[in-house]
Amino acid sequence: VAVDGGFDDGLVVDLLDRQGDATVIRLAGDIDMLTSQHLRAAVTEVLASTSGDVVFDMAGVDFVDSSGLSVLIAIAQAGRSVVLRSPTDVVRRVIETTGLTSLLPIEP
Amino acid sequence: MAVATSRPPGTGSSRTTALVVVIGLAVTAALALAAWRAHDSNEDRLLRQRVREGGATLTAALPSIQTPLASAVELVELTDADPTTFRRTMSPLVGEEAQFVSASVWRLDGDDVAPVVVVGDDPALAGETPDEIRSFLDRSAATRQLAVVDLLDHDPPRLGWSFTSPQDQTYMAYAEVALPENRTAVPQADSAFEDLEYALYLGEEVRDESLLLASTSDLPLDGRTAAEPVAFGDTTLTLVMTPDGDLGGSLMVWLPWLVALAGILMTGSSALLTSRLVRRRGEAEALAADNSRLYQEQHSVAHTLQQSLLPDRLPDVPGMEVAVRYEPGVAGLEVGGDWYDVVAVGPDCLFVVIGDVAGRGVNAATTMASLRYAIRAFASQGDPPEVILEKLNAVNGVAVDGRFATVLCATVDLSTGDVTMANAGHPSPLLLDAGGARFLEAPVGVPIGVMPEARYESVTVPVAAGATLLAFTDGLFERRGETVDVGMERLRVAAVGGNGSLPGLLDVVVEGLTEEGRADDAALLGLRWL
Repeated sequence: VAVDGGFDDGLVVDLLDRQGDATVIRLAGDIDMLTSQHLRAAVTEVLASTSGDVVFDMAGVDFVDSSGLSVLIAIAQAGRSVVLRSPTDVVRRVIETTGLTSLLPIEP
Repeated sequence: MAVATSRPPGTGSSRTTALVVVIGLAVTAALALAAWRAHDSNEDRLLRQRVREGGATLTAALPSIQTPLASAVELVELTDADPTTFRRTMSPLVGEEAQFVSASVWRLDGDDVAPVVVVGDDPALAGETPDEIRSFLDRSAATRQLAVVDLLDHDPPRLGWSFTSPQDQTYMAYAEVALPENRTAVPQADSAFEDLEYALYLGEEVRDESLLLASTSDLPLDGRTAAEPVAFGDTTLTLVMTPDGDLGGSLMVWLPWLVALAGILMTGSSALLTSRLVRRRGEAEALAADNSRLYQEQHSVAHTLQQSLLPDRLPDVPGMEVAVRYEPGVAGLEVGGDWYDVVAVGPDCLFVVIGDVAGRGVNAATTMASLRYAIRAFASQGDPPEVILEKLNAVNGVAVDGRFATVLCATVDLSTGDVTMANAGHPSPLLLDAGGARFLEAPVGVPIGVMPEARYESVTVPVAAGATLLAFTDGLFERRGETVDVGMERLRVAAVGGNGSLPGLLDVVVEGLTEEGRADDAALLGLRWL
């Protein structure tokens, strides 16, 4: 299910099947100042109707800046356990160098 | 705020339009002139061609005059001017509707200057003085072909010509033609010359007295004329022609006017278009200038705000040189959240911090201000770097809505040169010393504002005199499509290439990393151990 939230900015937010307790959301594109509001709106919409862990399939995300990290952090701070699945090297290194691996754990 | 203003209906616009009009009209005039000249020379050429054709037509008609007289004079010589033979020969050619009005035979050598045989009217030549007659007889004998005599002053005017035999020279056959009334003969409607006025003169001069025939009484022909001499016996006829209209057809006549009209119309529309374009360009330029000015204003407002939140001046620290660069990004107009601070917290301790609040705008700036003053307060109390970071997580306004800040705190023991630092998610600083350039890795904790109970660790690194520590925000090296490691290595290489003074080193690093423009703000802080 594509959740575009009315945005047309190249960012793709797909709600995939629930896997056990987890809600899996596939992201693709760049997450930056231009698209982070889209991400926030789309993810907020999805999470309002689910509970439990959130898995972001990050394989299609080529870039994430601090505004994108803020969205992911806000989800984690709201009490949802967040996992970043299959991030690209670029995204993985951002998470690592920013010291966010404890809050936003990475899985292959 | 300023809005786009349109320039007053511009002097530039009207000047350019006027220029277009002038150039357009000049080109039109030149084209029309060229067309007119082409038409003119075309008409001249056509007229010369037609008058040559007219002359050729006349020349072709000569045998019809010569042949009867040539035949007659042979018969006259053979029959010794037998009247019956001559009359029989010439009668069909003489009369009201015939070619000649009079035909006669004259002795060339006799004392009597009178015709020996006459067919039709009496020859007008006979009315001339004996001397004139004798002169013509002599001339006719000498010519041995067609000799022409001017009887135009006769009433009605006549033209006479004679023919003598090339062999025997006793007689001359002579005939006269009467010129039509008013010497006017209009070409037939289907004639090849119906579109021309002509005048035919006896002799080489165009004189009223020598006019033979003309298509009009309005003489001499004026305007565009062409003359062609036509050999006629022992004299010359001059054919003059003028077009009765235009020979090249109406298109050729109208061509110059069409060119002029089209040119004027095109000039007008060009001027209109130019005027519009110039006006639009003026508006676009004004808008662009306004936009550029607005951008500059906003950019400088952001920059000014940023600067106001940064230290006015850096402290003078014995044994240390401190320098900073702050480079506003090109992408955003809003103030960034990068900051740095250098505080002397004791005679032997220098506190240094560099940080980056996520996001931009007023919220980021306020968060940055809160953090900055909180850090100053904690540092002044003597808190070590890791404690300062832990305390920052309790500062109001940071941990809201995912907002966070990366912060690198460090203290320098001025007595030993040791640097102690703790890192909350910030890029590691670069140490340049005799051993080269390497990043000082400290355990990286979570950014400020992410986890209230976050804990941080510090590391202490001894630094020798002459070494330089560079701390920076990620805006300095971050580029899309590459990992942070690539960007940081580029920074390291740039720093290695920088020699000399600390400010010079910072310049080299900033310039070396901003070749392609940088979207984000970037802060760079340099410490040099003296």
